[in-house]
Amino acid sequence: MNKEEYIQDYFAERLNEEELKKFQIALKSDPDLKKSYEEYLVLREASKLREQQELKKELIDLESDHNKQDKKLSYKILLATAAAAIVTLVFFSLNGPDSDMIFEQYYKEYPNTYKPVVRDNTRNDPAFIAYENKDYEKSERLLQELLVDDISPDLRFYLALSQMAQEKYQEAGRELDQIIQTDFEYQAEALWYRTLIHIQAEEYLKAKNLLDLMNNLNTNFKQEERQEILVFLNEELSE
Amino acid sequence: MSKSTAESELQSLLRANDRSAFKKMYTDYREEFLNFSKRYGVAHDDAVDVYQDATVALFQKFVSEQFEIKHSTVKTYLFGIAKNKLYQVLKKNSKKVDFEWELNVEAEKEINEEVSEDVQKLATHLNSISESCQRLIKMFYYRNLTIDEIVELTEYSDGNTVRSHKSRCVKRLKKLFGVIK
Repeated sequence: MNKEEYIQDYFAERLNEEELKKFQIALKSDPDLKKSYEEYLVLREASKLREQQELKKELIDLESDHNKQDKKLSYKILLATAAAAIVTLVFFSLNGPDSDMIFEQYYKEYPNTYKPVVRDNTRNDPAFIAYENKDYEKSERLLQELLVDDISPDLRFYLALSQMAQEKYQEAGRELDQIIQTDFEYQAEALWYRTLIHIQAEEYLKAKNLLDLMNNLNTNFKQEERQEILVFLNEELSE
Repeated sequence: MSKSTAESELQSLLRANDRSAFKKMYTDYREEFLNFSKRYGVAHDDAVDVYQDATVALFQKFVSEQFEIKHSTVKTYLFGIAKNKLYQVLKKNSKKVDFEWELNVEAEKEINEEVSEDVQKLATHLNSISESCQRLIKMFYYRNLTIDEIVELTEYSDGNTVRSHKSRCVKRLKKLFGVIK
């Protein structure tokens, strides 16, 4: 074992009592070991600091997502929402409702926030690598395989998203139906995507019911968009 | 899944440097901590900053020390670090408040680490070496993984290859920056 590995064992607390004593004595009497120890310490602290900066950045990014979701409807936003609602209403009263148009306008692919692919690729999950690479056929297949052993709603949510991205709306709808009543991390998101599929299929009452369910969840997810879509749905259902 | 199983699974994932678990730890207790800090008149941004630093400190402890919480929970320990940090912020702002919480001596050492100029310089320049060197240095010096563990987790064929690559990476760093004296 070389000196660096010996020092690593010390820091990782892998030395037993006797070895620890020997190490401490050697550190005082062996200048080479002392020099290696000091070098090791600088590298160790620098690696830790660099990682600390990366982790902090990840949390700042995450916080900015939280802020977007937490943002209450301020007066300004209310005005913007009202304006958007009026525009939507005027647009539809002139052009007639179009479920495809609504779907196109509001459907956006959802990012991989469940298992983000990181530089240390030893922890990356192939299904989510495929998802991030927009290889949805592959992510669908791999997620289906994972779901055989693990009926996690998170995995099912991403399976449905992989299917939606391939325009397999019926399959995606069936998967989402299994999880929208489940209390899990992506429940609001699952409800949102299921709503869009209902709209795409012109199942307006079902879509409205799901938006009501989202309101009951007290979630801020897509709050403005939900108000806009409700204008469309109310108009459609009142006819 | 029982609470204790979930807790021990979370700790295992944190020790394994799992970024999803890191973010889950942050998200799960964020609201509660921000509400707690509100009671002491701490500005939202300061409270968020404190909570982020505490989350990072605890996560790094799990990863680099293979830390194990046996008689408490991740949440309690995280709050211990965050509250100590919050206390420092309040003290700095000369706020006179009655603290309802006990300061956690064990957690205190996680938040007061100052780093030397050499360390800061080296940390900045670590970005300039190759990806494979960055990864190897992180595994060995930060995660404290043994050479055998690194072989298991990577594509290196054996321990000697890891050793010689690591040695070249360190030499390159020394040559580039002359930081390590």
